[in-house]
Amino acid sequence: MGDGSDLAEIKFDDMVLYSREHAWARQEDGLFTVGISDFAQSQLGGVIYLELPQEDDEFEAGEEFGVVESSKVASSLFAPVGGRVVVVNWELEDNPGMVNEDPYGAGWIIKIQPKGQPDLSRLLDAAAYSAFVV
Amino acid sequence: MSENYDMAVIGGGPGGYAAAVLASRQGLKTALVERESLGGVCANWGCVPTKALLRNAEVIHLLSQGRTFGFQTQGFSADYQAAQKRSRQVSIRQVRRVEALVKSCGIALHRGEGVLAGGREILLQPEGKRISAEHVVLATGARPRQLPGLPCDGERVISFRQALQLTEAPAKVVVIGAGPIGMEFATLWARYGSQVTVVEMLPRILPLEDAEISAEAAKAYQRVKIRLMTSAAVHDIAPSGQGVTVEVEQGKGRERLAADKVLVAIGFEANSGGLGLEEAGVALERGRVVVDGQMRTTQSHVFAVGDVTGKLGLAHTASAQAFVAVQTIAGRPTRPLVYTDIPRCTYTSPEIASVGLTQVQAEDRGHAVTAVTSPLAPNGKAVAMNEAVGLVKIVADANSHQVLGVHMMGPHVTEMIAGAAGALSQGLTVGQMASVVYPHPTVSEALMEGLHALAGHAVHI
Repeated sequence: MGDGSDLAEIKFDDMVLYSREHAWARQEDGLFTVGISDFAQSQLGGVIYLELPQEDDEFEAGEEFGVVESSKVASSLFAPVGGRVVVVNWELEDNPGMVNEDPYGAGWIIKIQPKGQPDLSRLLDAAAYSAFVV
Repeated sequence: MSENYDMAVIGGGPGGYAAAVLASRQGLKTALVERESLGGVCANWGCVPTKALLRNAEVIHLLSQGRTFGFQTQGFSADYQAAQKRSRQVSIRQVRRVEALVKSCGIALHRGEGVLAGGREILLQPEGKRISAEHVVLATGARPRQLPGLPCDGERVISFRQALQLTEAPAKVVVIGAGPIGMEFATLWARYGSQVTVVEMLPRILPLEDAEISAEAAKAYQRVKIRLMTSAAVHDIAPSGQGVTVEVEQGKGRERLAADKVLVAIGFEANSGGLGLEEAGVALERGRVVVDGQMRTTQSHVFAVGDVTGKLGLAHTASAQAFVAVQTIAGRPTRPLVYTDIPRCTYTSPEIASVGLTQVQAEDRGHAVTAVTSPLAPNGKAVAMNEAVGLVKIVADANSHQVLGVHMMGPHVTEMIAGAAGALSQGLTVGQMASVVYPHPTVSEALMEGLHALAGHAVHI
C-alpha cells in the first residue's frame, strides 16, 4: 500500500484503536475522539479541505462521515465506531493542515457518543494496525 | 550574488501561476512573486467565490418553485451569512489547491511585490532582496475602475471585493454597470430579497453581448424584480443617513435613488504602476502593457499575460496567454490567440454564454450575415427542468457558411459554450457543425436546431 514514503517514520499511537479504513478512535470520558492515522495522512499528502459532519449527525460503524481532500485525492472518512457526533473540530476549517501535522492530537476530527455498548471487535491495536499497513 | 532563475513571474493569479507551473514542468528554474494570496482575483475575490454565492441563489430559485414540483413548504428562510461563509470556504479551498500545486512544482515563491530593477534584476519589496531572471512574465492583473470623482469608500460605495465580504444582503442596493459582474451581484441580491436597481450608461444591459441576448436577459432580470436603468448616467453619490443617495440622469429626467450600498462594476484598470516598466522600456498603452502575438512586450525578455495586457479580461484568457508565453520562452512554436474565439460567461440565472462575433460585429466586419434564433421553449430538457427560458442565436457568413458567433441564454449554457468555441476555433461551417449528432434530451439541442435551421432542415423551429 505504501508508495515509497518511508514507513519507518510513520507514527503509531498506542492509546488509540484503528480501523482498516485508517481512522482511529480514542475513548475518553464516554466519548470516542476520531481522526485519521499518521499513515493515512502521509499517503494523502497536504490536506486542503475537510467535508465535516454536523453535530447530532448519526453514523453506523463503517459508515462514511465526511471527506478529506488533499492536493492529490479526495478520500471518504469512515466512522471507526457508530454513534452520534457531539463535537466537531471546526478548527480544521481554517487549518486543515493540522491533520498532517498532528494527526493524533490537534488534528482530531470529531467526537462520537456511542449508541449503547460500542463494538470494538473490528478495530486493531497499534501493533496489529502497523502490521496491516506495512 | 542574487538568486538566478530561468523565469520569474510577477503575480500569482490564473495567468501567473499557470505560467510558473508550465515553466517549471518544462524544466525551467522558476520564481513566482505574489504580494497577496495565490489564485489572484479569480480564486480569492472573483470567479470562484461568486459562483458559490450564485449557487445559493439558484437553490433559492428552486425552493421558491417548490409548489410547481409538488413540494408543500411553509416558506423558508435564507441565511445570507451562511452563504457568504461558504463562499469564503470555497475560495480558500481553491487557494490552498494552488498553493499546493506551486509547492509541488518546486517553484520558488516570494511573498511581496516585484519591481523590474534594470538588466535582468527584479527587486523584491518590502524585503529589498534582488533576484535575477532570464525571462520575466508580468501577470499583475487589474483593479476595479472607479467612477471619476466618486471613489469607492469601501463601506457604502464598494467594489466586488467588499461585496464578497458583506455578511448580509443589502436591503436596497444600486449596481452601477450592467456587465457580467454587476448583473451577477444584482441577481444574487435580488434572490435574497434585496431591492436592486442597475444603472447602465450604455443603451442596453450586458452591452458586449449580442443585442438579442441583452433584450431577452433584460426581461428575465425584470421578472425577478431587478430595476434596469439604461442610457443612465450617475451624477452624484452622497451619504445620507446610514446609506447613500445616488443621483441618476436618464433622458431628460433626474432621479435620486436611496440605497444602503452602491456596487461599482464599471470595468478594470491594469495594474501596471510601480513595476518599473517605464524605466525598463516596457511600453504601455492606456496603462496596459503592450504585447505581441507571443505575449512579448517591447522588451524582448519581458512577457505579459492576463488583465495587465487589457485583452479580454477573463481568467481563462490569462491562462491561455500564459501557455503562449511559456511556449515562446521555451523556444517552442505557438499560434497567437484569437481573442474573439474565447468564450464569455455570465453566471446569472438564466446563464449567458457567447463566443465569436455578435451580429452587429459581423456586419461591421463586412460579412454578409445570416443568423437564426432558436428558442428554448420547445426544448424538452429545459421544459422538464422548468427552465425553458432562453435562446441560442447563431451568426454565420451567408456566403462561406462559416459560423462566426454563438450566443446563448438559458440553463447550463456556460457548460455548453465550450463545444461552440471548439467549432469556431477550427473555423467550421454551419454544415460541419450541423453534421454533429447532439444528445437528446439536452439543452444543447437548441444549438443543433439553430444549426439545422441555418442548414435548411430544422425539425422543431
